[in-house]
Amino acid sequence: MTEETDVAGESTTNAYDTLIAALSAVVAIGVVWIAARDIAGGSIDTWSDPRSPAFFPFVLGIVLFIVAGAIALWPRPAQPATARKPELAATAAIVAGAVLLAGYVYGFFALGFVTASALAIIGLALLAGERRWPILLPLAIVFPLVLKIVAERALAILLPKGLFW
Amino acid sequence: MWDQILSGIALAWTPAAMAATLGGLALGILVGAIPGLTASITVAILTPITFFLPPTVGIGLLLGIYKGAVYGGSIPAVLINTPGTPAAAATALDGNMLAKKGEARSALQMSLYASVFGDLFATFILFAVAAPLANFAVKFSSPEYTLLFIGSLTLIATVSGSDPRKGMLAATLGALVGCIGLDPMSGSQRFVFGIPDLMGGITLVPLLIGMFALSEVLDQIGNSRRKREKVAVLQTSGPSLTWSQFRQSVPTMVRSSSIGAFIGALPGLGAEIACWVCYGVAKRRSAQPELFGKGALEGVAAAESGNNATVPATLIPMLVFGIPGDVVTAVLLGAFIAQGLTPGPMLFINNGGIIYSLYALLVVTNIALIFFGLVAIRMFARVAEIPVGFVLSCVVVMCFAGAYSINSSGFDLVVMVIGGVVGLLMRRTNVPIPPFIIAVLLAPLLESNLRQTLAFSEGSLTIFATRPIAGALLGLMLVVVGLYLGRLFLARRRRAAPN
Repeated sequence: MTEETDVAGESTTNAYDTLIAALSAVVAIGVVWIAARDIAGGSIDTWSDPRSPAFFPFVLGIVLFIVAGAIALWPRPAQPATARKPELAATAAIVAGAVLLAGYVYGFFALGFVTASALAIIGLALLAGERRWPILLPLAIVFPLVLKIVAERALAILLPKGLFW
Repeated sequence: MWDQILSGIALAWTPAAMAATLGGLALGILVGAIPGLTASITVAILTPITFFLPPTVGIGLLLGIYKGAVYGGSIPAVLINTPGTPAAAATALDGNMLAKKGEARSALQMSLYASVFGDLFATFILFAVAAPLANFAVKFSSPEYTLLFIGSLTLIATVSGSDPRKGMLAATLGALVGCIGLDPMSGSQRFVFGIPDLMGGITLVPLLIGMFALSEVLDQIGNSRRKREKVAVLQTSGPSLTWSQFRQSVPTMVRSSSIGAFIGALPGLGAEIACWVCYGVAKRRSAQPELFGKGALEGVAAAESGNNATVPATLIPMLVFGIPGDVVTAVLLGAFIAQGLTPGPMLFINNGGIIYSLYALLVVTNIALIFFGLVAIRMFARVAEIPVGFVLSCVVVMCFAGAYSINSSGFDLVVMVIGGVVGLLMRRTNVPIPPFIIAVLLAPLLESNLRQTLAFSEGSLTIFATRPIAGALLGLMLVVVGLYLGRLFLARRRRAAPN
């Protein structure tokens, strides 16, 4: 993360902020485009009419573009940067965690709630640095099972069935 | 009114409502005491379960968690100098210094009694203010609600996080997400992109669970790769709080509770800001300001009474206008709507009994907090040893079960996971999440009121100035914006000055 400082000692721009502003501007243009073309059918009279479904998204698109411009152009008030410098191991763990969550969504239906949850508990705990297998294995089996029984018996919430349960 | 109060007490005084509320309180204290878990995360995860429970039971459970978590955060703040929740950050300053001096017991007791005092004080303010305000709010129509929603969203956006522009960005993006689906007035499709699951819009609770709970899990997985210092848990030892020490702090608690209740009633502020404001005011007004930061019981009393007073006060704008002041009340608002209770002035007329039952449950949790808190103080050493890795993985499983249970929809799980990744990116780039979530919730209301107003006035904006209440609201908003811009201008001039 790069942060520049001008002569008055005030933080000016920041690489992340510039990227956020650019992405927001693209989204804003996209929103205005969709509002004008797809929702309102390309008629200017329609999207400027408060009764049109395109009216509110169009207004929001304009506001978003202005906010993006403000982030890109105005100097940021001096403040301590809370964003952390990316570390390779931490980033890899986060990406692995996100992939595991996506896999859990798939497994939720393919394997059933209990089996997919047991695998997710083991995977996430390992990613979080836990290696205590005597606790981890019983927890991975008992917790989803208890949750499924409570959900189905006490709250009448049906969770997907699959392998084993 | 008395009929409604009596029926409210009767509704609250049922074994199921009591058990859910007190169970929620105990759970809230536990999660508040575990750094990394907050009231927002827990309330979001458990909200889907409440859809299957009667209103007083489900909402009582969530209120218990909310109150317990705000108090629970103070225990690790005192004993390990790590606030369990952001609202307990100011408590750590003096609380941990007292613990290091061997006075942990008196610090924890002061924190507990000040929390109960602040909470009870603000509950009575809620009782006194909400119903009369609702009577007044009956006169509001579309133009007034439009201004109220715009003002609240602007306030939430500008005070959340360190950069108001990023707050505005989050709020605008949230409002756009709120537009996804069918237009409520014409039935036209908006931002659906041919995906049938998007026709009904984005379900708020899975999105919220993802953005708060899953993003926190991913964040902590990343943090687990960094070297951490072993945290020393200080002993709950030393002398107990004396009556004279408590009595000396009563004026501070009254002042801080009043400030906390006021801050809580304003959308967007909340306990995190209240604790610092109350701490700062108490230090300025203290006869011994030099003791603050070095172990002043008055500092603990100010921070804890202030942050707990915000909890009942945040319910004022939510119940009266349907405007959530923070993320927890946004979830509560969702829970109310799911129960068929639409917050707003008519709620007090049509469902007054339920409102008063919630007031009664708030009072009960205040009294119960004294006993639960004393037990939690003794048990904290064990809570601190709970391995976070195991807790996080179980939290994820509960998130999935909760999100799925709302509509039995796989698409909700996808929304939740995407919300988790987006939430993590927002955390890492200092874009605040609360304005985004609250805007998703308020956008449909703001849109329908704005379009109704402009359709009625044939597109003329003068309607916002010509109606008496709307004109007064607009004037107030302009004054606040003017003061804010003036302060910014002065700050820039001061920074630009040579010395």
